[in-house]
Amino acid sequence: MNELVAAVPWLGKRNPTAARWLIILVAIAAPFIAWQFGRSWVRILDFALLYMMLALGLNLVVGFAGLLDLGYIAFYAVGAYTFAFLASPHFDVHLPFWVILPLGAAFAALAGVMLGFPVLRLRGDYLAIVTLGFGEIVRIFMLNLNYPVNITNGPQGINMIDPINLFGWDLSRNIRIGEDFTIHSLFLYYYFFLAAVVASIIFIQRLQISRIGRAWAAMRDDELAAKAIGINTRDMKLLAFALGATFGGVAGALFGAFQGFVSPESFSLMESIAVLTMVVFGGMGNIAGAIVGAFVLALLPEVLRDVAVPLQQALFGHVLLDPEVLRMLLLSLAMILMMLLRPAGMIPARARYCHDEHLARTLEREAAK
Amino acid sequence: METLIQQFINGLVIGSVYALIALGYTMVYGILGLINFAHGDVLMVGALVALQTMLFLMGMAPGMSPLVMLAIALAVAMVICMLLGFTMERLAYRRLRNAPRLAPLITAIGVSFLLQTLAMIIWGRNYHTFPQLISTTPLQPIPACSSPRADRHRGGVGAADGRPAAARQSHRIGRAMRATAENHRVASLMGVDTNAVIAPHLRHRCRARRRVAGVMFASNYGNRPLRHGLQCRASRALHRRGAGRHRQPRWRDARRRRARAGGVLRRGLHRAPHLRLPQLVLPGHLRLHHPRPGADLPAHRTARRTRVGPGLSEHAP
Repeated sequence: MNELVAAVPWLGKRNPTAARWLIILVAIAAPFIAWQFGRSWVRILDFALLYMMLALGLNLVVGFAGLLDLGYIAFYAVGAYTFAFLASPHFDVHLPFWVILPLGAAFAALAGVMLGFPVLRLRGDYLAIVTLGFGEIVRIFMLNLNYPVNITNGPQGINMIDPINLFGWDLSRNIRIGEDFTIHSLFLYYYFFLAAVVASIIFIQRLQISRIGRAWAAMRDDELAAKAIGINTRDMKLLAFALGATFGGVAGALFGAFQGFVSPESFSLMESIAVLTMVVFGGMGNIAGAIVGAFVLALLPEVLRDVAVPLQQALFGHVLLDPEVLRMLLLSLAMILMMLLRPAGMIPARARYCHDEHLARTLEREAAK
Repeated sequence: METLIQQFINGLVIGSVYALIALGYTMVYGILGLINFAHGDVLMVGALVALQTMLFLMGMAPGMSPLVMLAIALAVAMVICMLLGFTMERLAYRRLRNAPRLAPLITAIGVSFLLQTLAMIIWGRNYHTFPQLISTTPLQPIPACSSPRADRHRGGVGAADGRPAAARQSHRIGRAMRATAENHRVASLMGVDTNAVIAPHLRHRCRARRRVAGVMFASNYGNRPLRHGLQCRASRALHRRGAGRHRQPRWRDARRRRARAGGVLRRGLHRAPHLRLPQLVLPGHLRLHHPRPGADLPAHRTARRTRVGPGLSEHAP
């Protein structure tokens, strides 16, 4: 949170308390602001929150433990499909949300360990290749497991997934207060996802300064030295994969319930790369970085769709660049330029392994200078 | 039986094209230690440039012999992709030579996506048909098992493979390349301009071969492989098996190695004014004291370094 506060332009350094309240206020008011521009923008914000959760999970693996994972979206897929299997007419199973969510997380964690075991000895490029392959395997399985026994319904995907139901409170239904005031379900989803993201942030922050987080950092900086001082690198790697995957799985389950429809094409390699770009763009090994990166890069294509097309029409008379192409162009350029110009990301990680109060003090001291 | 032979030859054709791609790939990895994720995308650019050249030639000189046309397209694609490879290395990879490992990897992924997007902008998203240049009628003597196209592919692949491999064995630049692959820091201490080794390497040796592969791929399948960027990436695990293979010592006996190094020395500098002396000494030198591939420094160097420790070095002569 302190890092996020410090990243607020202008205000963050001068008045951290005000900046903190500003962030909280914006987080709460965001859907109302977005609503002014149209319903779809609230939906986009909901997706941005899901991407934040994904980026936080991937940041755990890539940023904290230093294991480059190019198949991260596979865990997202596992979570989403678990939800789809257990709460849709596809198998005609309708389990309650609070049962499926831990199950989805557990399955994703299992997938993480399954990926973790064979890659224990690998580092760097080799690890990237194997995880990339794993991501593709999961996607192709989901694409082809519809014959001879129809499990995943192939490329058609599974639809009519049950919405999130919190102890009898259906999030997909608008709340009607009085005659002319309704709270749209998109708002309910927004706040629910926001709560999930905040919970993940708190969990990850505690994790980062715990014994495990420090062990990861040691392993990331020098695996051999970490082994020498008695860190069980095998367990730590598996734990990193499993915990990272858990966040992916939870985000996937929420995605399935929110979207109401899952298909293999949502889990392509491009998505993995996009999440990785978010982490890299924001700053690896840094919670605030993951949040900012996910927020910016999830909103970017939508803003482009809204701005670039009319702009091109006004300038050249016709659309030169598809928004989708433009998105890819900007993502790839972001990746290259960030690595060349600011390898530490928008918000470089600093003073990572101390308690929050210490960090606050450090930031204050820097501000005083 | 006929189908079996036909499939065997088809497999051989595809396999040799992949071998060609993988060879370029292994050279980059061997020297830079970088998985060049943009490799498949340069293949794609090669195919598209060749296609464009051919369409242009067909419009300008319809009567031209298809083989000449193919040769011209090949040449143009090679030049363009050489430039592309050079630009990539210069702008993206060079600055990250000493960065942590993740940085160049992520940059390479970015370059790969950038090339795909640019190709999509320039050539559009639809499939393009590659013109039929070589006839597809089956060869008669061996009934229905091969087409001249397939044979020519194998010939082309073989030729393109052989040349750089041979050059790497004996050529002086080849030795500098191998030295850089072995340990680029020591190589630069010895006076090899490692950047100059790496750049033409990316530019020329591998890209050129990939270009050939791109043209062949395209002309064999009759359509433009825009998606190959992705497909190649998926099959990269396969290529990786052979990556870095050429780092293994190839000369078997030390006498021959010494003879080679001596030969270069005897011939002297006037034969190679563009290379400096240490560069000429280097290959034999490194090989002699470097029995284990992957060891950081030759044994005698580490020994000397430990003897003169930081405390002693002040008093050392």
